[in-house]
Amino acid sequence: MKLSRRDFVRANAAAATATAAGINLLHDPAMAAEGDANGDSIRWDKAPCRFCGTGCSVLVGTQDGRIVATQGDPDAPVNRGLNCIKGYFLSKIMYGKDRLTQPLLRMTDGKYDKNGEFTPVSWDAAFDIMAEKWKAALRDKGPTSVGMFGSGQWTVWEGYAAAKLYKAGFRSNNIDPNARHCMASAVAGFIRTFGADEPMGVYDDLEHADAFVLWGSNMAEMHPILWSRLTDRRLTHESCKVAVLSTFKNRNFDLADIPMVFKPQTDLAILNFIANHIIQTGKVNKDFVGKNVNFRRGNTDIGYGLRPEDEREKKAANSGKGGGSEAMTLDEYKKFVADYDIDSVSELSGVPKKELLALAELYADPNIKVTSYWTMGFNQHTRGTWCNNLIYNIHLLVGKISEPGNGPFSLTGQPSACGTAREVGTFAHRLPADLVVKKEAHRDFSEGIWKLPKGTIPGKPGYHAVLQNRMLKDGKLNAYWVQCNNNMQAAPNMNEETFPGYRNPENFIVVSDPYPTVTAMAADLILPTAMWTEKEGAYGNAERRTQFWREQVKAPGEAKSDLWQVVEFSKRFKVEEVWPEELVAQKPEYRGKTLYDILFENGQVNRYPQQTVTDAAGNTYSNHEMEDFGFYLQKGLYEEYRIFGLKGPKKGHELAEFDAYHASRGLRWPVIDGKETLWRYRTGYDPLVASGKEVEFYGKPDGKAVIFALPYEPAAEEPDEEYDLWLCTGRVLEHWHSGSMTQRVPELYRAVPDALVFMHPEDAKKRGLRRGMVAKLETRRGEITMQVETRGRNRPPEGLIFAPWFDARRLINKLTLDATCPISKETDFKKCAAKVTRA
Amino acid sequence: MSGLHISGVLVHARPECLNSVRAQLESAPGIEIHGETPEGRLVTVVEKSNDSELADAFIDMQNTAGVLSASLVYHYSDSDVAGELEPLS
Repeated sequence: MKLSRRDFVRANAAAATATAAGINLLHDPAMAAEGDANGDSIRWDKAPCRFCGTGCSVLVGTQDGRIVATQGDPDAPVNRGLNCIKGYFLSKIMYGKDRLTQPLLRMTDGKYDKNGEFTPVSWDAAFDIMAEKWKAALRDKGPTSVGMFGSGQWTVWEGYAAAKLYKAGFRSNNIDPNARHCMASAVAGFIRTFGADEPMGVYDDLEHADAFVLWGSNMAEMHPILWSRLTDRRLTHESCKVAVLSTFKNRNFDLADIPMVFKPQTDLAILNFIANHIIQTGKVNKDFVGKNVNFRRGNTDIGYGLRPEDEREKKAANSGKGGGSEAMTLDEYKKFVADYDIDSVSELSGVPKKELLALAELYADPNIKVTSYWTMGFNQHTRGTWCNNLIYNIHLLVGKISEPGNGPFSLTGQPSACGTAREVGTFAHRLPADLVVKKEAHRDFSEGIWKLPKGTIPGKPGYHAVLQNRMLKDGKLNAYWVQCNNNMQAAPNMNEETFPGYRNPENFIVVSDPYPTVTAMAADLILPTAMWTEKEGAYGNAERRTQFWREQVKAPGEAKSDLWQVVEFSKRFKVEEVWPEELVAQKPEYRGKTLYDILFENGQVNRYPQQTVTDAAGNTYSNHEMEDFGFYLQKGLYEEYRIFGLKGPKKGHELAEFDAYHASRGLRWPVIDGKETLWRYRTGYDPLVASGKEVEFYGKPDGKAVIFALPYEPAAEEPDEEYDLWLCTGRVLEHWHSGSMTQRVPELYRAVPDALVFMHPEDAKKRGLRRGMVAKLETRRGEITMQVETRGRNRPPEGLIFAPWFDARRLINKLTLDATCPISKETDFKKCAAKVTRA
Repeated sequence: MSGLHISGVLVHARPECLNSVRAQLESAPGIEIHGETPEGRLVTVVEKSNDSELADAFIDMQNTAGVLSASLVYHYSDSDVAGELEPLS
């Protein structure tokens, strides 16, 4: 019998798909045998997907040093063999034609010149000029003049090494991740309510809940694999309901039993209405609330995180004091939410009463298990921390939390926003494992683990993302390194803040990237970066699952991983050039040493000798960092980081040992005695809950979570007569974030080549526009042109337009306002005032 | 472009739309249905002459009326090998 290769591949495709669907197809044994024979030429190994925060596992097929095939990993609990379209083209993101392969420095006549042309230089020359600029800044203005902008796409050890180099080496807390634009409100909400970051539940809730509520989350497009699990539950579990809230109709509405389009910012009122409804109908779980909850009244009128000279900040009574609160009683809280009755909230939000009641009943009915999901609609909000607090209020009032099917769950946008950006301490105010720079005990503990003299880590939080751009513009932040993100395109108010900051002649900007992004092109030095499976890595997804992968292929040209770059750069600094004498005097043995010696050859990070990396099948893999530094760098960094969770002052962040992750499809922390934890804070699921207690929110000293009284307040900039439309920005399925990778995949580019402005047909008509015509979009900060779309997957109501931000040729962030949640410092990319005219 | 460009796609249709979704998919060139469940899951294999057409077909499937989600499970793309395999025995 002869079987064509084509038949064989088709049979494999059908078999894999049927398995994912839970169907047994008739199986031909001859074909299985052939599969084994054919498998010899392709080496398969697992890796988490490089895109969103879902954390799907992908089987990567490598042949002759190149990735030729990918397959959804059938053994992965997250995606069970499925992939979305971005995962499908994962193998291609590394092979874009304009991949950067050598360092490029702006030069004129052979010398660095901020206005020169990008010219190839050696790594040595690149680090020479960088070290010169960093040393000059440190000497002239001190540690606050150097900074770094990192990423939720950094691997765990990359983020950890960068945070350590900055906080411990350069003694600067001016390091922040792009997760600030994405997750900071979720972080602040978790810390404020529970005293510990990240969700209590897991994706398994998708198979246990009776109802799902999507709050400002376009899950169908942004988290398609979780959406397929949700769809499955909705269609196979009798009486399962899906409620969708958004400021415009999107694909999720196709499945919605309770669809709701609300006016921007009124989610705050809807959340309080639900709490009021629970109270008015007597559905408060008194036993749960009595044992596990404290009540506090939060400060109000807290401003919008704008520059202090902005009129809106001057007017706000509590500008700069957003985080403040005072104790209150349950009765006082009841009175507070009583204002949010159905009539006024329906009027304010534009949502009919029938839908509001049906929504509130999903939470109030004790027989319905309800899971809430949210992403940027809540987080990118000038009251983002409040939104997070308010959804927790609801779940806490009815005790629907920390058990299968019941819980609030913050979805993440980046593959390691949790595992790296949040957990290893890359934020300007954080240290590893939920520790913060403000607390002396936390600094002392960190300095102990890192073998540093007392007082090395500064106690004042550094510049957060938006503030970094303002400080660049103001000339206070002068030596600046951007890794693994495209912040010129991603950050708000590009015209007034980001671009002038990067091009300020006082500043030296370094950007590490695989591609010439908008950000890279605005830099002074570009460093070529190895990506994804060109290095050994680890990511942590939204459900606390840490996943590892091995290096599969070699990076092109001279491209090096972010990890290599950070560690190698540390060799350029003698400790005396960076630390004051009184600090060095505490550790005389460090005299004459480099930051590399102190931070990375400290007996811990360099503890694991060079070895051959192999998988269970005996295949061997390269590890370029291990070859270059002479020890197992990734393992050493990870094991040092792990001490923070095992011995640190905050419990609940215990991780398994390094090798356990290479051998598994990831583990969800806390990992206690080798076992992962699914639902946190409830006995029977979480071994850290004190014996005798049913529930313990152990992030707080008294084990109780906090319900916060927080009101509806208006947005920073609302439509008026001149700028008469709400502008909401966001993403589309085919492109991931700024599109620097997906726009280079021809198939994805072809599918959605250009960003379109989605608007209501009536709004278009009023402005003399039709579908397909080019419109001018304008705000107080800038203008761009885009083609009008009045149909398609996003259908805004009258008065609102939606525009995606992936398109580097139509930079929507020239228009957005840099207003942030004053507590989380996360930008509101969803609301500003715009006008649209014919171009 | 020559070679093989084949994907396995799991389509989830609204159960009440299963018949119309099946009919629409069957009428599209290069799509074969290999199985289905009463809950609305359809096992499909898509073959096109290049990856761009494959991606277009996938987007079209996703935008078909009655389709709730379309997930890619398997993707094979090779432009230069189109030979035949000799079985082991």
